[in-house]
Amino acid sequence: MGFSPQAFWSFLISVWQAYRLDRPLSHHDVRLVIMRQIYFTGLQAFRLVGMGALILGVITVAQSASQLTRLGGSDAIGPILVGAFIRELGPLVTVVVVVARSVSAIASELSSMKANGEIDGLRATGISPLSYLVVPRVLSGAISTLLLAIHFVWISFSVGFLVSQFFINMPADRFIENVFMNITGIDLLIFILKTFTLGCFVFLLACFCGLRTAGTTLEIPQATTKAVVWSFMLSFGVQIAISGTYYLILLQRSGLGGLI
Amino acid sequence: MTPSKKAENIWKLSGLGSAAGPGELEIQDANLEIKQGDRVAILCEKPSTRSLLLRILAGLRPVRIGSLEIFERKTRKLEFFEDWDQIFQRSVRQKLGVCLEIEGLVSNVSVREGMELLYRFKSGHESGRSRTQVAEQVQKTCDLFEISNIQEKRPFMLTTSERRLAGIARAWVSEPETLLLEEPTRGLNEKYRKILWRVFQNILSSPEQTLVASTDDWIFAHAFCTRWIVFENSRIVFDGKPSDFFKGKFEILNEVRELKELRGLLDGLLGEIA
Repeated sequence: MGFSPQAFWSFLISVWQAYRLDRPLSHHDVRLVIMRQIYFTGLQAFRLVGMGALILGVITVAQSASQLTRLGGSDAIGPILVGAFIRELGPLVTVVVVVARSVSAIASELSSMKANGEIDGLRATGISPLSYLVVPRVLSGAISTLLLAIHFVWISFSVGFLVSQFFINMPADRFIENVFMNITGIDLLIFILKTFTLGCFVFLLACFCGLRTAGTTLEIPQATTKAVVWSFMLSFGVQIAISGTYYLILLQRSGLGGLI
Repeated sequence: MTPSKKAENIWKLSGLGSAAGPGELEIQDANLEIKQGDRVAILCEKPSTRSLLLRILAGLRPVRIGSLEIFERKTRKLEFFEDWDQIFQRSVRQKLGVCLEIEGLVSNVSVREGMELLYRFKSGHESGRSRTQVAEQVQKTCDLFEISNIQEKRPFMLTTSERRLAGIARAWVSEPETLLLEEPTRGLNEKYRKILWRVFQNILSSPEQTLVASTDDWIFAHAFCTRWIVFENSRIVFDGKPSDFFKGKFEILNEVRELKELRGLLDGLLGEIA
């Protein structure tokens, strides 16, 4: 079964209607699920994302610092860090980790719940699976993605700071000023769009794939694969679209738009 | 056991046809009304037909042909993952207590937590029930069903009989006016069967209480249901009192050895209950 935009749209509407009707966040049980999911999706992935940030941070900063020192442009380290980690690598690596770890887990969890008759059981007894299962997973997934991306940026900036101390002998206050003066509102908007908003959609896709099965165990791996593939496609597409639009606007503003 | 004079129509099926999947209809041209206070047994030698009808009544399977009204409101085809709750603003599911053959107990919570969850959700966020009130209601239900000893267990730790009883207890926790049960006695051992018997005698003492059960347990159907709906070849062939089933049109069946034995069993059991 391929991706059906109509079915996904109708799923989104149903989730919204269930949210309005049940106000799931006012339920103690739903808040408990949110906390549990943040623990699984966010906290348990902290070490993995931290490792990624450490490795990428060392590589990126060491490479750019060595080149910049040779060219005498060590002050450019700030814009490079902001561009690389806040706008591009931070959201990208975080979403890749989240899709690989949690999207697959949620899709298989929901599809096995469907195969075990738990979804029908919930619906029949008057608990909306959308309010009890989907809303908390989407919300906690989006929050976790944002938190993980912040964690990534924090680690990579810390690495950048250490490398700048050892490789280019940049004073600490100059490094901090150099980095923070280069963070703009647009950078933060892009960061939120690529993490929180994209996180929402990626987890909605995971729930959609998990719940759209007919309820056989055979479909569990299929639903998981679909959720991961579609989430990666969505993530890469959105990342490319946002970055592409940003750089196009940047080029237009700097008067180089005619070159494209 | 007499239904109230102004019994509300709970379900009305007109020319209903449906199937669990693509292909031939498993229910054809079903016309029936189920009113408040009815105790209905859906009987059919084909389990999929009786199960399908029960799931249609619970809003879990679509109607392919004909129409279905619930609480005198017309239902429509549901979109993907749309539910009656969204169409009727939660006015329907609150009145229904459903237990399917696969109970679908939430696997990561205990029996008690699952019942509390359902009770809180069913009451709605605006009900303002305190945790103590919820806990009391759940305990009352556990005591009624004699499952206090298993209430802290998770579903995977339960035996088939315990799961069945826990599922029916969960359906009853909010004391809905209508109970919809799919194969309520399936997999119950003797001990839990007796408990279920006592529970139903208690629950069904109110004439307003409606019960719809799809079952192949004729003894259960005879003991608790005053109306039998019998399917044969996807069509309703009998809808009436159990006593009428054994005479008149189906008189010939009385000669069947199994039915004779069944009647003997029923008489013995009813005598025991009395």
